Amino acid sequence: MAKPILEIKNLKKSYGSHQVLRGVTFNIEPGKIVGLLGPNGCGKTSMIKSIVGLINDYEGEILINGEKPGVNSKNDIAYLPEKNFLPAWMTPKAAINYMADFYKNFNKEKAYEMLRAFELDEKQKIKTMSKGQQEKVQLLLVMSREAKLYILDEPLGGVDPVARDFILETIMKNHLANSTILLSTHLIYDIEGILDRVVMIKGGVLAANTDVETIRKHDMTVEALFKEVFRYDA
Amino acid sequence: MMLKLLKNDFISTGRIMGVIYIIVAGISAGTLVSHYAKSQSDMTVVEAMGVALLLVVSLCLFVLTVVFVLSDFQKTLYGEQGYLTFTLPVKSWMILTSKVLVATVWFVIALVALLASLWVTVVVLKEEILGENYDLIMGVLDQIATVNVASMIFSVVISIILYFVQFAFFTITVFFTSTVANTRHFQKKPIFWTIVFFVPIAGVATKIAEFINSKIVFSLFFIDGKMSLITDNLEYMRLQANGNSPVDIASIFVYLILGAGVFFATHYIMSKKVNIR
Repeated sequence: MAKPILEIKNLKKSYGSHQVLRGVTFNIEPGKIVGLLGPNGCGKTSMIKSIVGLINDYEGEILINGEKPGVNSKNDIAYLPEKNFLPAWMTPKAAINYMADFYKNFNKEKAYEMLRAFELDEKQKIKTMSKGQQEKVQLLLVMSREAKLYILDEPLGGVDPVARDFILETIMKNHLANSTILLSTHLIYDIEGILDRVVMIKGGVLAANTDVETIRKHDMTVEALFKEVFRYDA
Repeated sequence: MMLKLLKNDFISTGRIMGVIYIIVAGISAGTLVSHYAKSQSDMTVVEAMGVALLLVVSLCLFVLTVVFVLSDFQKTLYGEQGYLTFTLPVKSWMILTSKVLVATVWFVIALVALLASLWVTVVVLKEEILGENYDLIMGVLDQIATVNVASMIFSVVISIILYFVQFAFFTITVFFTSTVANTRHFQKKPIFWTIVFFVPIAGVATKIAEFINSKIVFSLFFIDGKMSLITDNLEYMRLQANGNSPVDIASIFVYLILGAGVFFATHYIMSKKVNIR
């Protein structure tokens, strides 16, 4: 069995008296596409922020490629947050240069290829772009990284079905063959076809952690399992 | 990585701060050109407007720098851009150091711009404000400079270092306050809490610095081309009473040590207690 790319052991996180993660444990094997599923507010984003190093005051242990979150893990992870993380004054060209400055595994050529494919102007400022264009710039910056682990937080949220297909196609086409993708979403139907494994979080605890193949062997779909697990939350 | 952070922080802040200084330089140059190009001795309208504008902009420079430095810190670390900054493969203390150094440089530039604009004002208004005494004052200054060149240079260098350290101390105090204001209880109104916390925190920090400075005498004094170290309070007072100015270097160390303390506290809260929203 290959060494897990991500190990989460008894992860707990509270905001004051409100506990959002109540001891979550699971591993992710390299080379898999994993769906991190759960309704809004179940703790997906808090878990992701802990993995990428944006939250540090959690309990439990997180290991990325055998190491705690830090400089090395940040090099291994390409993270697409829900938020617009680019400064308004930046142009795609400046953003590409910025990423290339800091990440050794950033592929500038690939970034420009994607920029052309997305029909974006390299000199247009982020603030003058539409929301969809801004999302494309962020996506290309993340997918131009030759990372070991891609973490995509709700990449399909708030976009139309055509854009969803486009985003999924971009992700599938541009991630490295042996890399891992952890994709958080509550839009199961759109991603069902690409997933190898699903991790479901319900009320801050692990509700399911299983292979998609196993789900199908039981004549179920991921969406059906999701509905079963979250029946009372829906 | 540190150099890359510095480079990108300068690019990011320079877009606005650079423009402000270009405006100051432009007004100064315009005012000076108008002053030297005029044929009559009376002040021209352009000169008068230039000087007035220069004084207003220069006096606002410090406030503008504080506002800009604080808003940049808030946006790039604790706002949505924090998602980019804190996921870079660099140590978090480097991020903070880069922010402090870049902000300090802007404060020093603000001071230099303020002094330069005051100089322009003096040049333009010399007849009006100093009258016949202008040449006399300049003569005395030249004399002082030639009599004790080494001492003057040394004083200027130490003063520059002291200003840099004091600005760095001020900057890290602003950043500390902003970081506290971004912890969970205050995170909803970070700018408001930064302003509320800044006055007492900066007040206490300054009082501590002043108290330590008043207890420690550690000054350098040039006499007959030789440098001597003054550590005795009586000797220090005697020199001052005789019209000499020993160069105080204790302040540099006091602000450095206090600044380091505030830096570590800021870094601790930033990396352990702040959750980016």
